[in-house]
Amino acid sequence: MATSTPLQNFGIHQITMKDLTDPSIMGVGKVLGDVTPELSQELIDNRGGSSAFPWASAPGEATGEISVIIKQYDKNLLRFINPYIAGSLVEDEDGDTAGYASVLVNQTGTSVLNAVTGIASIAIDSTKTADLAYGDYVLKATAAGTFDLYLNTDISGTASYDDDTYKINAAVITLPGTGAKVTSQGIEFTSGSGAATLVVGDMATFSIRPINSYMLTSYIGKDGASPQEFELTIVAEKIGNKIRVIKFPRCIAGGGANLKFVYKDWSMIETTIKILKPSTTTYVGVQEFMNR
Amino acid sequence: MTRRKEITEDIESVESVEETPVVEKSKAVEFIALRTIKVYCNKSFDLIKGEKIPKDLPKEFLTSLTNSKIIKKV
Repeated sequence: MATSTPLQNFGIHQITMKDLTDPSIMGVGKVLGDVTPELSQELIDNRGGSSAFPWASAPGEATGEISVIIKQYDKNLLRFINPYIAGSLVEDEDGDTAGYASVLVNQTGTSVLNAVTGIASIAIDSTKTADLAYGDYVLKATAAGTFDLYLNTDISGTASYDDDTYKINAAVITLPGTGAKVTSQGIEFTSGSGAATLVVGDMATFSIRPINSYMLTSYIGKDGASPQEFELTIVAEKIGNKIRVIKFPRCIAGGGANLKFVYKDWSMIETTIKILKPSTTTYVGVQEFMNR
Repeated sequence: MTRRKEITEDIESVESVEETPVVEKSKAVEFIALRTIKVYCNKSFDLIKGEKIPKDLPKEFLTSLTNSKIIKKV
């Protein structure tokens, strides 16, 4: 009679984080680096007398930590890794199909956003969406009826810096006044009802997003957010019909799921998940080996 | 005698008005640039100090450019 094939394990296929109160909420990670559960327990030695070795040893405190490397940033992964509260993650699966313009907010002075003598509102010009450039804008009045635009990034390629002040308009933009509009960079600036009388140096800010098909906004450290407990399942690569799984019914993560920017390399979340004692099971973790 | 002179003067006055009718001439308003500057009024325009502004500069921007001391009426 031959001996059996040893039980072995290879690679990483998936991790799944499942909410403890609403099991339908799951975060699945597929783009993974090492996922390494480390469970250890201190041994407390009883030493004394002339013996170089302990007379006895008894178990002390146990710790269970899983170091995880995740190379993706999907919504529910962030939900479980980072402290969470409703509103921490705002996902629009269809994106900004017509582009997005935030409201204009006065930052210096009050003459820019003004329903009579300034700019009443901004909007996307639907006929010029190709000109839209992503980013946070500063609008600065240069005369009673003119202004410049400054932009915090030229990543879109549709707005280039004109000078060292990071102004993006080569020609000073004229606000027509009396309700008329001027469109620049695909943004429609609607004048207030009266003649434009901007105060030189007054500033207002707004944000723009070009047309896109998906938008996730993740707020880090949002007021009231707290770590969420979850069940963690780790699944190895399948070799033939062999499936290897380890489950920890109650875990908690310490954060760290923020974007990293690595020179010429993909960024990754490196976080530590702590294993807790569940009250619903008689064990802390369970591992399954299906097929030899 | 005095009354007759007054009537004569009235007639001459009326005739005088008829001989020199007031003709109102409409004068086209033109603007010149006060600065050499590139302005954007839904498209870019190059203004040169002392020269007339481009004819195709949209009229709705003229007041703002005037108030901004970039152009003035002549």
